[in-house]
Amino acid sequence: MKTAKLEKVGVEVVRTKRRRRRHSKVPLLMGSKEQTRHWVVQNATMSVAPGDCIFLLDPEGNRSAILMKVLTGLVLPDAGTVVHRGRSLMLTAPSRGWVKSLSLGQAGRLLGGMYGMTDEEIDDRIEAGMDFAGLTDKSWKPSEEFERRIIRQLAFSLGTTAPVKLLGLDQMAVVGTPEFRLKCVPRIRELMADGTSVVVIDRDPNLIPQLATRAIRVKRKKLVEISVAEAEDLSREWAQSKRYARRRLRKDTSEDDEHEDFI
Amino acid sequence: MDCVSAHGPGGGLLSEVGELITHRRTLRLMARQDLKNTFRNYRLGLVWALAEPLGLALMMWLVFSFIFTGRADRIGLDPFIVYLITGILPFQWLAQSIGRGPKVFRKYGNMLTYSPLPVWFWPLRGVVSSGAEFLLSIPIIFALVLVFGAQISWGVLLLPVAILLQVVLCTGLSMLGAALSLKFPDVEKMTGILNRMLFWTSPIIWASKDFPDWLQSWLYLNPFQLLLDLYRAIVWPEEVGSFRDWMLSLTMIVVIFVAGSVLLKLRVRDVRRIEE
Repeated sequence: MKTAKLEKVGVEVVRTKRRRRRHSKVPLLMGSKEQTRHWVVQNATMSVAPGDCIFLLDPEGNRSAILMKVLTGLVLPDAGTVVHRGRSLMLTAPSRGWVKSLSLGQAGRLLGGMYGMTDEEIDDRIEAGMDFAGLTDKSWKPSEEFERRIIRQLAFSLGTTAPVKLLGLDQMAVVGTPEFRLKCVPRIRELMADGTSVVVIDRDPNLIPQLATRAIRVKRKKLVEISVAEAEDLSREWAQSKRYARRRLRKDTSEDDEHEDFI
Repeated sequence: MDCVSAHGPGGGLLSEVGELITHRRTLRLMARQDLKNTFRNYRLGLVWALAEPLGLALMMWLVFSFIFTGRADRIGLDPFIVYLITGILPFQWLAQSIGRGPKVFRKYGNMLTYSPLPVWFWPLRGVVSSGAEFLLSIPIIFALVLVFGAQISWGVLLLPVAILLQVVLCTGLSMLGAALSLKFPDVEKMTGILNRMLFWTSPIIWASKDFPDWLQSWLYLNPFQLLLDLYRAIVWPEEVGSFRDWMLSLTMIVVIFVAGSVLLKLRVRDVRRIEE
């Protein structure tokens, strides 16, 4: 029995681009941006079995995130069928703005709620989550006192306690302080052993041999199943490319900006 | 649980109400966070939530009771300050909800794209935090009623009905604003004009008795008219409209809510798939 199944799925995304000026002297009265739709995936067929850990790779773009949204039920496909068996959750990196003005304990509750956990589920799991994150004694402190990686650590701890059949981790497989990062992979392996399916998007090539049971690459709007070794090579190649370095630099700068905003 | 999705979104009204109940504490936390964010930079904090409408009511009372001597009796009901405050405080809630609606996606867009919470949760978040400000100001209404010697009537029992109907109306308007702003960002700028228009076309300063009889029933096409009647029933229970007036306003509230909900659901499909 598969946890999730995509059959001939097609997904369109919306691209926002600057409207072209036809006459340089005439101002754009109806807005300077326009939205166009285009297919990112077509005829995609795949399935996720219990206990699987699938790495989604897309070195050419960011289509893996939209595919994960379809797998976890956040986005409905524009063509084809998706079958979900049980609940799913997509963990994405929270920014500090999400939990601004709250204590760390309240931040944990809010993140749980945002990821779709009910009030009762949060009540049952918040203590275990805070404990796993090593933040139990700091739960009353304002979240502004903590770095973004601690908020991510909290989100990971809570998200991995959620009662779901499919867990999507978008750049959230290994997060937090160096000590906490050591606890992430064993935690994911525990979930897999319990029958939870895990889908991961992560650019760290060292993570693939530790966790992956399968790997899927998005290539020319199609899904191609590749071996774990191939996925590792592809990821390593990508990590050494100039494009990755540029993206990394951009990301670091934007995180610094966000930090400045809050101070 | 098997869930097969081909194209359309699933889940009816009952399941969405169920979602609201199961996530009620998350919603409360979000509203609390919004309140803290709004007032955290001010020394007097939450006091400003009450000071602004109270200041406006006092100013209008002074103008119409002392500068234009004698006019207060003709344009409202006595005591005029109570009449004003029972109009201005609910209007403040309505205006804030309308103003926040078109900003929902700009403010919470990145959370919304990754959260499985129902889409109307985000406009409702703004409505609840503005509503909390209103609830905090209710003691001011009762204090003014007592100070100016008015009598509290059985109409006070209608207060929860008024609050509930206002939540539905504000959520509907907020959802409409949010959905329309995705296609026409200019809606954000229009909310200021709409709020001013609502202020002068609703019986906040004037009373419906100032209009001819044949026109009075049609004033209930503005659903805020019914809400004001219900709030003012605390002191003036005889001002509550007829069954036909109630039906007219209730229909408008339902139409606004359904239109907002449908439009928002259609538009949010695009928000969740914006290319990053």
